[in-house]
This record gives sequence, structure tokens and C-alpha cells, in this order.
Amino acid sequence: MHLPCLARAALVALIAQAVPITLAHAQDPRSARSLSGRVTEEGNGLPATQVQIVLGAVALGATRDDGTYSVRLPAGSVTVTFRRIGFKRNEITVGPNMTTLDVVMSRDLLRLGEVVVSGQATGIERRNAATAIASVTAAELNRVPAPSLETMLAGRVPGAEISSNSGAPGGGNQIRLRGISTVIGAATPLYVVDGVIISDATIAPGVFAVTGSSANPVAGGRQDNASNRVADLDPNSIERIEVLKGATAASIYGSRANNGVVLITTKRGALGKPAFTLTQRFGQSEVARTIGMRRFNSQADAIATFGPAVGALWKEGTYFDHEREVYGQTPTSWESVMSVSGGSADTRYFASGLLKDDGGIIANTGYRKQSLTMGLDQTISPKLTARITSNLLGTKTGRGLTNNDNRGVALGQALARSPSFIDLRRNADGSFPRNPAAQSNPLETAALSTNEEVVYRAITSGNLTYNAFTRTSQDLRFIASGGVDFFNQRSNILTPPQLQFEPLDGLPGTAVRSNAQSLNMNLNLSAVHTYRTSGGGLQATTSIGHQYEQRGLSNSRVVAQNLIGGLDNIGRATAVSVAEDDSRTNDIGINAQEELLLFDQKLFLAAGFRADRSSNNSDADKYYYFPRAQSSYRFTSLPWAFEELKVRLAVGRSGNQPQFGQKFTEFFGGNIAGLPTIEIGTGAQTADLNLRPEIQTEVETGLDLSLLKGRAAIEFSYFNKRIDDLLVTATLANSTGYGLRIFNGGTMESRGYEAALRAFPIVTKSFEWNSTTTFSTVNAKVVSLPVPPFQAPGFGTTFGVFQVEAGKSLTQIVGNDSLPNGQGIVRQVGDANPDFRMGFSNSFRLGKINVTTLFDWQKGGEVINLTRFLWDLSRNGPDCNDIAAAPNPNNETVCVRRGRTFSRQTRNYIEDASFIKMRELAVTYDLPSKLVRRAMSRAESARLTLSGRNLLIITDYTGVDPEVSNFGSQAISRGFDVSPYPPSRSFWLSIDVRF
Amino acid sequence: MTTTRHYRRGRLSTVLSASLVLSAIACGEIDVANPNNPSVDGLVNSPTATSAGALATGLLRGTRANVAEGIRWLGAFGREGYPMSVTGASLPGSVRDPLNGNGFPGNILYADPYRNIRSANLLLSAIDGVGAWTEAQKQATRGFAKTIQAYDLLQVIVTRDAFGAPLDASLDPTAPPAPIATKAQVYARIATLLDEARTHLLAGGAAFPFPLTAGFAGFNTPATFLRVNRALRARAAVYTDNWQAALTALSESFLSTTAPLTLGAYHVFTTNSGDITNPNFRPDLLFAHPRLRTEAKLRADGTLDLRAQTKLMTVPTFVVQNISSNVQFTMYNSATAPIPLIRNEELILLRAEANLGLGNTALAIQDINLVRSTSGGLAPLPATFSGDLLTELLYDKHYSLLWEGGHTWIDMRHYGRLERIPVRAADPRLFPAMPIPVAECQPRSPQPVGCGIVNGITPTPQP
Repeated sequence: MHLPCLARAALVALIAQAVPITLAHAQDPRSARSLSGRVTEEGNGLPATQVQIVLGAVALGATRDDGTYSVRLPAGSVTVTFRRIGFKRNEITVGPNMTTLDVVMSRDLLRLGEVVVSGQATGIERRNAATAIASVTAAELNRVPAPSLETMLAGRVPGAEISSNSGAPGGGNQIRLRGISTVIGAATPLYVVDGVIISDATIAPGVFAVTGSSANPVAGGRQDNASNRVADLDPNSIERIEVLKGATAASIYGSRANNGVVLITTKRGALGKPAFTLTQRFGQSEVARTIGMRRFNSQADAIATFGPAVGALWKEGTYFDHEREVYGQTPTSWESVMSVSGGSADTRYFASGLLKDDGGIIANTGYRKQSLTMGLDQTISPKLTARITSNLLGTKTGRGLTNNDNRGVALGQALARSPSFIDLRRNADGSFPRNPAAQSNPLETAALSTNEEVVYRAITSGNLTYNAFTRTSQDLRFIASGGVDFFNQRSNILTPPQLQFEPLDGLPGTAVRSNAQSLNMNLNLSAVHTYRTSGGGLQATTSIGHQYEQRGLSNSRVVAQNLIGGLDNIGRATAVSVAEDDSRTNDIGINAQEELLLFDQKLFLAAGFRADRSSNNSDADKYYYFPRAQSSYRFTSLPWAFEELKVRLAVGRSGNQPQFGQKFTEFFGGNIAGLPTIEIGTGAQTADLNLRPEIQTEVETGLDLSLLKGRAAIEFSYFNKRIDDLLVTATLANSTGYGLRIFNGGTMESRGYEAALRAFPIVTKSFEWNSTTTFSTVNAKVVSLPVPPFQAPGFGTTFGVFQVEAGKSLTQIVGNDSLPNGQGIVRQVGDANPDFRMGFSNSFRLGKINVTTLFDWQKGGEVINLTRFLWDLSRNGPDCNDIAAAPNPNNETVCVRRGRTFSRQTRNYIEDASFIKMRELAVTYDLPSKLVRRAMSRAESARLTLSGRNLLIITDYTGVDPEVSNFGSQAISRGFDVSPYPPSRSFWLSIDVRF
Repeated sequence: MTTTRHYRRGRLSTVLSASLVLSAIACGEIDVANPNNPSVDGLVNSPTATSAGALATGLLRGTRANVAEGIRWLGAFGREGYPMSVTGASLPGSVRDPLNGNGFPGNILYADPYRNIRSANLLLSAIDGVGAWTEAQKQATRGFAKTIQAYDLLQVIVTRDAFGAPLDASLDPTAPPAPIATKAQVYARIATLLDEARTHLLAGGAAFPFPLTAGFAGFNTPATFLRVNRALRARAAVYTDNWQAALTALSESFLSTTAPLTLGAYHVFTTNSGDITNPNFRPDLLFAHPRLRTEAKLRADGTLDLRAQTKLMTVPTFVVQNISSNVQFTMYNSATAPIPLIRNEELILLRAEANLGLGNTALAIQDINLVRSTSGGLAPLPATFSGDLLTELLYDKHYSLLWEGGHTWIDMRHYGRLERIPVRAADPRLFPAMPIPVAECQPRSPQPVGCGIVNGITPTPQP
């Protein structure tokens, strides 16, 4: 036991007790007075249901289906708040003798009344928020089905770069919030679902054991195109997503928040009789982009490319587009969602079920998901409320064999070497022809091999709130929240012995089995005290909290070769190798915060800190502190059409703790011919004795302007993030025997702008146009680096590699280049960082028809197009018949020239990644209610939707997709296009019924 | 609520106990030990017979790490064969373009040998602390460790040659890197290590206190392992023209004119879990140079040198980047085929080389003929042979040690005959040495010779 630590904790505990003790003499709020009335919507006069009636922090009740309500109030004049998501908040002072009150609610088009997170257990209305917290609601999320949740966010959140690592079913995405915040630390945001910090692990299935993309049995799976586990979540059960982008907002999550935090709130039950919704979707998808196969116009060309034996098979006029054959499935997909919501004043429930089957454009790929979400909100006593959410998930994903490869096995790589004049399709007897030009026949590989991930997952969260006392002037709540996220991922890869490439290693047939178990748990204890003056001029919220978090991931993998009888059984093999990798982390955090709302809620001030310690730091007992301060002021009396202007300024710190294992200096335990061995591992690290979190200090300032009577809003933010104590690797001289040293040092800085324009340019009874345009830029630079420039994972300078170097952009690509005098040089040849990103979301409603579109535009940025390199290498690409520009004495083709000169000119394969993608298009038709009732007597409403995802991509990029990432989710090394699973476009027809 | 006092006391105790729980959690032990691998400090500071033994056996694993790659790439430099990778385009590009120390193949046979040298140093510093070992066992282990260190250092210097190589890296990773020693200094260190190892092994008793692999069958006691040590000593001596030292070492080695030419020490591979298979058993990717057929001498009956017959086989023509071949190697014909570390056939040829260097032509011809007839089925050279005997010897080294460790490239360079290695338009480049890898160069200023790009030479291509 550490005395200082105990003392500190005791102090915190004392403060926690001091609050209730000093305030314990306040009076009971309840009295025998009642207030009732009816609440309606502005304009149409329809009853406003589910409007919450609140006194301070005390929920008094809600309106019924006909808009009426009845609540009890304390004596005297009180201010009652009527609020409902999507409507402007109504605060009404109720005189001491009033008993009835009718209220009209007006729509909050710009969602300024929405409460966004401001602390671990506190929230603030958007109108006062001092940071640009983005939020996305259910309605926006589920317009068009997507492989995973993150895909649905693309183009919607300014400052978020959301990209798919590949087009494979089942997801695999990366979200970067305000650019890159680390070099070798954890690179993905923290995901919190209803208070549970969930795992977003990417667990490699072991494809590398087949493709040879890496020889490392433990860490080799970076190029395996695995999905990240956030993809499991069911978007249909999500009510809202809040995105805390930088340290100013994310500081409340301390040493895991440098990459931002994504807070996900599950739908809750609503008061009233059960309301059912049923959604049925059918869709079809097809490949969106291909490279194209070379057409061989003469036998001489064929021989020059594939050698005499293969060339002899050339026949005039035969052409097989193998790419379209391999990526040519047009599967039917479907999705069924059913949910029910309802409840009484004391008990509210929500349940949602999902069955989903997405087909893949490659044989044997696809995605199935089943999800059951249940939420219960229970008032146990007037002071005690409980909330429980449970989500059970099952997914099964077929991912195919794609990405980098060293054995000519992965589909894209085999395609690059498949001659278009040879028929590779299945023979009449069921076998496949051998590919005489390559190690494998991609059609055979796709048809007969398996690469699937099966996940079962349970995410359960609980929240217990004890309203220790509630007065009009103050209240005190104790909140215990937390939960468990457990999943098991079983990956199964099978390449049966009859595949062309399988016998080549002398061990025909390979089965790979990975079994990963992940358990995350966290418990948060908070106390929140709110004090407000009677006129509402001042509101002070004090909160303190404590967080305990534990997470563990254990992954074992068996690679079995030489399958006896070709069985998919790892016990029936002669060569079996086993690997296991465990990680365990324990974290403890303490939070304290004071928030003040002053001058009629015009001025908002907040300050707080979080202190964290973690077993991932060298010193697991040492606390690191992450303070923050925020302020915003609303100017309300503005000229002309301006309604309200908010200026805001916030500073905050957050951290990024070292990744598990980075603090260890270890031997590698193995064997040679069964004899136990210990040695220094390949590229082994020596760890620093003072490994600690990276520290981000962010300053964010901005203006939020609302104008035209709440019909338009402009948000503008500027941020400057400085990250000190960067975790860096010093490459050690090889002669030391070690590969690298990991330590804290160096500074990076990134700054950028984010802007959003939200408008309702036209709102009439019959026509409504809602438009949101977002814009963001971010530029990250390495300010100082205590080590020589070092490179992020990649393929070396020949192919282009990301190099971390002081004074340079963090996303610079260095490669081989030639000086004018012909001398070779290694220098910067590109930069992956885009100039800007914009999102255009528009929705038009004309009577019963609603059309929504979402465009995503990235300008600039560069991608390393190694897919093209592979096609050039085999001289099999679509432009391999085109003659290169003069001087060209040998009549060289363009692809030969690119391939010949690239080793001294890496730029040949570095391409502009600019694109415009039409991510979503949906046309919805609300069926006439008469028709609906006739079809189904209990039905309330029904709508038909015709939608599409990824319908259009406009880009000059010649590879598969400018967004893909061969190395999956990476801090820096995105932007390698190495024959990935190509993207697909999908079309959907859906019907939603409410009853 | 009947009595407010009770109520308050209850609440107070709730809060108190909650804060106690909180304090306990806040101050609890949360550190996590490494669940995946043993720690370096633990082993070095308190070694056991088991852990130190595993570290010793581990040297065989470490020294095996780069062997297969070395055969492929050095084999390409000497135009023995081409590792043709459809996907990585690795080798054809590498014999066409300059070598850089920042990736394949410029950086191989460097980090792995040094890693093993460090493992050996950690073992050497731990040996004294192994209470369970007798003094003889400790001596045996020292002799073993230093022999392997010398072998690793030899791997580095044959590839970096005139550029030299660092010796004596500090144990402190933050210390400045060790200076780069000259080629002569490195060979001197190799000789010293092997000679020190000899002394240790002679005092090493009857057995090693740890197991060696089956690749050392017949050489797995201190006394017999010494013969491998001496064989390596002879190879290093020949490379530095120390002919007499080579002959002396060979006399203590396992050289035998009656034993099979395959007698020797081998790197072994298995399909055991956690072990590796022979990476050169790759019929899909590894091709022999077509010249091995066209340049082979003919036997009396007009057929090819037996070595060109048994070590090569015909396959369909494969073309990558204008480099084509229809020949593959047969010697690594299974996933568990061993790779020689050093064997009898080389020792006989080393003796011939040393004798040739000393002018003992007759003795040299005698050994050459032994290999030539046994291994190649060729007619012997006449005792009165008056042609260029070195060319004849190099022919035999080329075919006898084919695809076993880049012997052709090393030997041709040794005798200044690098540019006699035939090149074609598609693979025009020959390298005198591989660059010093970037990681070794980076911490140094100014950059030593050997850092950066090695352009090599581009003799006139043959058609």
C-alpha cells in the first residue's frame, strides 16, 4: 500500500462526503399541488407526446399520447421546463396559484436544446457547450444500410476522417478525429456504449499464414484485412452518437482520450403503450471499381509477358475478364429489424432485434449479424432509478483472401498475373483449370477457400442513480455506472489441399484457427451536486468521480498444414504450430469538475481535471493529471437576422497511454527442433523505465451563430493540438542486437479548422429542404523529435513509406527519387494528408416524398498505389498496350516504363487520392394512412424507401479505392493500396411499418 | 421515514463505506507482469541451468535465422539462382538496381547475426551465475557461445567485406554505437573468438550442459564440437589468405577424405509448433540460373557434371521482368531439409585452396580431383595440369557448394573475379559488398563508408 495514494483517495472521499453533509438540512420538494394541461406542436397543433416536464433536475413526468399531462409541484413560484428532443426547450414560471398550463412547443431545427456531454456524469445544452461536440442521431444513421456503424458516420462529422480499410463485408474502418495524434500509440478513438468502454480490437485471423504477408506468427496479422470490433454494433438500436474530437472535450476520459471519444447511446423506452416498428430491407450489391485486364493483341505480346509456354495458349479474340469473374457476384442482401418501446411512469422498456445478411461480391464472402438489444429504465423509489441495457450480438463474416501476399495466393495478386486469354473458369467435372502463369487460379481460390470470423458478444451496462436529495435550489446525485463487454472471436481459414498453390510448400492444405477472448469491464462512481439560484441567474454543478477499468485480450492461433484427408480439422494435420498472445491492462482514474452557468445561462465556465494511472505505464502507481477549462458566452441581442452568437474558448489535456507490452524488455521463448530456446527476438525492443502517457494539450476556440429565426446556424472552430511526450521508437544500431527502443520524447502539433453550415432554406407545410455542409482541415507536423527520422510500418523507401521526421508533416511519404544529375536520393515524394474534406448532406421533403443525399469530398492527399504496381509488374494492366511518350527508342509501353523507372522514382505509384463519393441516396415515400390501415388494421404508418450506398465515385485515382488501407487501422501507415477487397455499391428497397 | 436521525446515520455510513471501497480500489496493486515472454533482466541476473541452457540452445535458432535468405540473395549476387517473387518482385529488381541498406536485400545478414551475438553475450554474462553447472560445463558453454558468435560475425563480414563491421556493442541501448572496425580487425576478432573458444572447449569436459540439435550429430560434445570450430577457423583463414593457419585448423577439423562429403554441421528445420520450416523449400519461387547447365563441364560419356544433374531439375519456363528460367534446385526438397553450416566437401576444397595459395599444386590437385570425381563424376585433372588451377578450383567450389551460402559470390570477389560472373541485360548489376543497413548508419555522424547506396558494377551484358 502506498500511503500518499491512500491519503489522496481519503481526501477525495472526504470531499465527496462534505457535500451531502453540509446540505443535509434542505427540505422535501414534494407538496400537494398539481399542475395539468396540454402540450401541442407549433404550426400544426398536433399533440406533443413524450414531452418531459422537469423541475431543476427532477423529472416530474411526461405528456401522454394526446399531449396532456398532470404533475405535482412544490408550493410557491417555480420554473418548470418542458423539453423534448427535437424541440426547443420551454421554461415557464408557474405562479403559486396556477393549476393549468397549456404549452406550445416549437421545433428545434438546429438542435440547440440537445444536451451534450460535459463531464463523466454531467451534460450541457448545445447552446452553451464550449466545445464543438458533434452528434449524429438515429434518423441520420439508418437511412441506408451499411457494413458497419462507422461507415454511416462518414461525411457527417466535421473533423472526422472515416475510411474503410477495404470493401469487404463486415466492416473494417478507421476513424481519425482531428487527424493523427500519435505515432506508435493506440490509434483509434475510445468507444463508450451507455457508459461501457468497449473493445474496438482488430484481431487478425491469421491470413498471413496462407499469403505469407508476414513471417511473424504473433504480430504478423497487420495485413490480414481484419474487421475492427466496433463493426459488431447494431446501428438500428442506437439513439445517438456524440463525438468528442480533441482533448478539450475528451479530457474527461483522461489517458485514453487522445484519439477522441465516441459516445454511443442506445435507444430507450418511451412512456406509453407498446409502439412497434418493423423494418424490412432487401438489397443487392455489385463491384464498384475494377482495374481492368489487359487484352493481348498478338501472340508475341503474350509470349513476351508470360513466357513461351503460356504464350502458346494465346488465341486470337479470346478474352476473359477474370477480375469481373472473381469480383462478379451480385448477391442479394436483406435486413430485418423489429423493435418495441413502451412503459409506465416507473418502468420503461425498449427491445430491438436485428437479423441481417449481407452478401459479398466475391464467392464465399458475406456478413451475417444477429442482434438483440434490451433496455430497461426502472424507478425503484423516488430517489433511486436504475437503467440496464443488454446487447447480445452474433456475427459471421466471410472476408476472402485479399491484401498483400508473398505467395501469389491472394486474389488480387493472382489476378494481376492471370492472362486474359486463358479460361480459368470451373471445368465441367467441377475441378478448376491450373493457372499456367501464376501460383494460383483466383477463381478456384475464391470458390474453395474460407476466411471467416465468427463473433459472439455481450455488452451489458448498468446505471444506478441515487438522488440523495432534490430541492429547487440544489440537488445531489450519486451515480454508479459501468458494465461489461465480452466477446469471443473465432476465425477460421481453410485453403484445402486441392488448391493450385497448396502443394507448393510441401504441406498441402492449411487450416488456421484463431480464438480470441476479450473482456472489458469498467465501473464509474460519481457524485454530482447542482446548485442554482432561484432566478436562474447562476447554476453551479460540482462533480467528482472515480473510474476503474480492466481490459484483457487473449488470442491463440493454430496453423495446421498438411491436412490429412483434406479435413478442416486442426487435429488432422502433420505440421501444427501454435501461438498465443495475451494482454491485460488495469486503469484507475479520478475526475473532479466544476461547471458554472452565469448571467441567465449566457456565460458558461467549467474547470476540472482527471488523474489516471495505468498498468501500461512503467510506473503503475503514478498518477498523471489531465486538467481542463472551458468557457462560452452567448450574445443574444443581435441586429438584423442574427439571433444568437456564441463565442467559446476551451483548453484541455488528455493522454494516450503506452500500448500493452511496450514497457517490457523481453526474451523470445521458442524452440528449435523441439528443444526449448530463449533468444532476443527479431527486432526486439528495449523499453524505457519511464514509459508514460503521451500528453495532448488542445486549445479550441470557435463561434456558433444562429440566424434567421433558428433556420440556419454556422459553426466555426479552430483547434491547436500539441502532443508532448510522444511515444517514439529509436531505431537502434543493429550491432546492439536490439531493434528499437521505445520511450517518450518529441512533440507534434496539429491544427485545423472545422466549419459547419446547417440550414433549413425552405420550410413550408408542403416542402422542406434541410441542408448540412461540413468542412474540415487538419495539418499535423512533427515539431521536435529526439531520435533520427524513423519509418512507420511499410515496405521500405522503394515502395514509399511514411517517415516521422522533425519539421515535416506527420503524413509525409518518402521514397526513392532521382536528382537532375541522375543520382539517386531518398526524400519526400508525397503526403497522405488531404487539403480538406467536405460533407454535403441534403434532405428534401415534398409532401409524402423525402429525398436525402450525402456526398463526401476529399481534396488532395496521396495514396501509394501498389495494386497498380503489381499489375505493371506482370505487364497485365489495362494500359500495358499503350506506348509511352518519347523519347522511347525501344517502343516501351507505359506500364513497362513505370515499372522500370520506379525503383529510382517511387512517385510512379504515388497518386492523388482526391475523390467525391456519393455515400448515400435515399428516396422515401410515406404510404397513405388509409392504404396502410387497409393492409394492416393495427398499423399506424408505413413508408417505402429506395436507397443506395456508394452509388457514385468521382476520382482520378487508378487503384482500387483511394480510402483503403493494406495495414488496416494505423496511426500513420494508412494509404497503402495493395490489391484489397474492392468496394461495392449497393441498392436497397425497404419498408418501415409502425404499429 | 420514521426517524430522520437513523436515516442520516445510515446514509453517512453508506457514504463512508463507499469511500473506503473507493480508496481501496484507487490504491490497489494494478501492475501486470508480462504474460507472453521471459524478461531479460530476470534471466541474466538469476539464471538457472534450464534458462541458461535454453539461451545456449537458442543460439542455434538465432544463427539459423538468416541462413536461407542469405543463400537466396548471395546466390543471386553470384548468379547461382533467382528468388523470383511474383508479388514482391524482390530479386530481379535487386540485381538490376543499386542496393540500399533500407530494405531487402541490402539489409539482410546483419541484424540477425548481431542479435544472436547479443544473445551470446547475455549468455556469457549469465554463465557464472548458474550454480548448477560445473566449471567444465561452464567452459563448454563459453566455447560453444564464442564459436557461434564467430560464425555470426563471419556472416556479417563476408557480406560487408571492405566496409568493415562494428565490434563490441554496448549493453546500454542509449550509448553511442560501437565504432565500425576494419575488415582485418573483424577477421582478427573472428580468429580470436574461435581460438578462445577452442581453449574453453578443451577444458569443457565430456558433455555440454544443454542439448544441441540433430544437425550437430557427431559434433555435440565439447571435443567433437571443437572440430566444427576448427572448420570455421579454416574458412575464415582462407578468406584472409592465411593459408598455413587454415591448414593447421583443418588438421583439427572433421576433414576426412574417406567420410561422406556430406558429413558436417547443419541447420535443421522442422514442422514443430513454434519452429520454422526450410524457407528455401520454395519450388514456386526459387529458380536456378540457366548458366548452371550451359557452363557445366561434360563427363566422359558426354553427360553433364553430376552436380549439375542432381542439383538441378527442369520446370516450365517462368518469366518475371525479362528474367526467365526453367531450372530449379533440388537440394532442399522438403520443408524439413537441413541447410549445411559447414561440411566435409567444403573442407577438402578449403585444403586445396590453402595448398594452392602456398604453391603446393600437387596437393591441391589431389583434393580437387577427389571432389571432382566423387561429386561430379568428372575426369580428374592430370597431375601435370598447367592451366589456371584457381579457375578449376573455383569451378568446383561453385558446383559443390551451390545454393548453400553464396560461396560463388564470396569466392569470386575474394580473387578479384567478380566481373567474370556473367550478367544479362535484365540483371546487369554485380555488387562487391552489401551496404551497412540504415539502422546501423543512422546514429552515426559522419556516415561511415558503406552507408547509403551500393551501385556495384555493370559489366557488359552477355546475350
